[in-house]
Amino acid sequence: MDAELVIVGAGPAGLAAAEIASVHGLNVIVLDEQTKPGGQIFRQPPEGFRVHSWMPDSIYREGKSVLASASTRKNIRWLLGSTVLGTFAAGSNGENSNRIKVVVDTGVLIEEIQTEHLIFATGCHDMAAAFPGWNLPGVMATGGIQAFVKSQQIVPGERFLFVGTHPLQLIVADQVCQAGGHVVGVVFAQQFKRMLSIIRNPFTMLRFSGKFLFLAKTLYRLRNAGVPVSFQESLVRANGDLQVSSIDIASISLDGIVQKNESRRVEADRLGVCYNFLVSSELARQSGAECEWSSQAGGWIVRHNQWMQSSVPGISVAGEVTGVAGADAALEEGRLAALGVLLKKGVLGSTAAARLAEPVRRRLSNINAFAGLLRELSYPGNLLNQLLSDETNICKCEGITAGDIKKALAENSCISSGSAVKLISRTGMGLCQGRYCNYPLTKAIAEYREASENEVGPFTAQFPVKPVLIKKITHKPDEPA
Amino acid sequence: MNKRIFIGVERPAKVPIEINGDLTETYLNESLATALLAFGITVFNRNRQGDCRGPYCNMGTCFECLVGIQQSRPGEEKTEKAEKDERVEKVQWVRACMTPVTEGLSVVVGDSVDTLNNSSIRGRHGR
Ligand SMILES: Cc1cc2nc3c(=O)[nH]c(=O)nc-3n(C[C@H](O)[C@H](O)[C@H](O)COP(=O)(O)OP(=O)(O)OC[C@H]3O[C@@H](n4cnc5c(N)ncnc54)[C@H](O)[C@@H]3O)c2cc1C
Ligand code: FES
Repeated sequence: MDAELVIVGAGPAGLAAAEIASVHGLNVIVLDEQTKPGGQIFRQPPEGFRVHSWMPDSIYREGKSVLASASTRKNIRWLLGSTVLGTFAAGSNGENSNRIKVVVDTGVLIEEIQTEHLIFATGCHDMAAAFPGWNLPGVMATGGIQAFVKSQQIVPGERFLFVGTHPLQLIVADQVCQAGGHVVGVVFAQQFKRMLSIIRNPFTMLRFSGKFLFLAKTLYRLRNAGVPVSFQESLVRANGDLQVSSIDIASISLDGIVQKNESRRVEADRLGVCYNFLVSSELARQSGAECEWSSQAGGWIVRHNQWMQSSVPGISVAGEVTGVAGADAALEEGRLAALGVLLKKGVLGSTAAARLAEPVRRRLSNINAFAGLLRELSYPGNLLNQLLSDETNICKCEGITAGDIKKALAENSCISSGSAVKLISRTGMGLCQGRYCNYPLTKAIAEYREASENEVGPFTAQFPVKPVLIKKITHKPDEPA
Repeated sequence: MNKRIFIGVERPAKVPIEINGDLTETYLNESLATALLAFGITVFNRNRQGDCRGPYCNMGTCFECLVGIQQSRPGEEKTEKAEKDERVEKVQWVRACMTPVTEGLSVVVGDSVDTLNNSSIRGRHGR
């Protein structure tokens, strides 16, 4: 299979890129693991479902219209339910030298697509906080709870508690309430004063009035539903036998210390954890794209130039994978990435491309100002470190604890890279391939060795970036599967 | 309990599926994770350390929601033993949150199932 442009990820970034590229006549293939386009913010209900009022708020209008218009374009081919496992150079010389081979697990078969232009719009996922009890069934990423409600149309629990630092938890708590769930609390670690301080000047308020209005409406509805929203508190542990049944919550002192000895117990069978997001840059890294560390923007973010091109020729990036900034930024970055491809292919001249890019860049810089505030506001800082005990799993897949990591670092004074610690401790070697532990581990090594995170470096991302049945990879096309 | 939302939502017809050998029905195309939650199942597997696990990310990233599936082939007569052997052997571990319900899906799930010790799905570095 061949395409002029291959886009991985059908979220706002991938959709906006696909729309622009297809309007300018390119044949585009869009791949996504999900069975429907939309990405995390617009996780659509399953095939055959009809939801009468789906994400009705006006802040979703632009994204939904891009989704609708991309979905009807004739020269976009959708490969959904398909996981991209990695990329390789298609050939070393001659006419194939610019071509990239994209290896895809379609669910049944492993397929290869060749292209000269690839955009990774692979998004982000919730950051996991490691604390005693975080692996109990019933403890979930808040974004995951939301996807059950908005996409699957199920309220996944009886009594919900949300804990974290990110305002998304207000939105999800509201969605759960509206769907008939019982929310027993939303707990923020920040002081209320600090939350307000991001609106330090009235211009900020005015500039982003749509967002603030939406949050204000959400808070108002939560108040009316009788949901207690508290500040300056943290979770300490989740308790339960086969699944979570209660959560211990403690206040945080003014100097930021969790008062673990004075906790209160809240009964809930579903705990949502919402401390920020981590970028999904494994695929870009496997392809050789350079990354750099950002604690606030989601860990190993992908470097790019002003046309969203990565350090690897032919590979561009857009959306959260360049640093978590939300759906509006993802849309604009997708557009820029597509314009960059059109320029490189010669479909657009440099004047035309610059003219089309100008308003996109203007909007993007405005959105990024807001995204910066939001990141600053929701960054948990050293709070998550305080939640760990030596027995807490850092690597949930292999059961490697914070204590194991400390021991490995103490006993092997010569190792300081993320990949070396992975080899020695087995952290990050399980099924999720380090997606949750790489972030806390990088920070832990940097702190222990008094090095920068960039010196520690990410886990090396290898093919396949997601686990796959070995028999599928070794399967020959003429044999039955 | 986990409750489906019905107000303002139309769903496709229900189709038969099997959970741990029990025949039941659920909505076509909803995720297997949703179907299991709706049946009150919160523990999806026990991992290699023996710990109970259930969905965490609901987006295909964490692999905490693994369950075993086996497409049943209706009409095939089998002894009980042969059926059990086949179940163990032919089980494939899938992410329940990423797997749409199809007719006749047969799922092995729960804290009594020693899932990952017989695992046929492995990370690159899996033991
Ligand atoms: C669970 C969750 C819920 C969220 N809810 C909201 C919300 O309600 N409101 C809000 O403003 N923001 C929300 N966000 C933030 C969200 O990141 C942005 O709003 C927006 O979706 C980002 O757009 P994107 O295109 O960069 O990435 P995404 O929308 O995340 O799209 C990336 C897509 O790439 C696909 N993908 C990744 N890797 C592969 C691979 N290897 N093979 C195939 N496909 C792949 C994914 O399946 C995904 O669909 C949420 C984030 C998460 C993680
Ligand atoms: S719940 Fe994380 S992969 Fe399914």
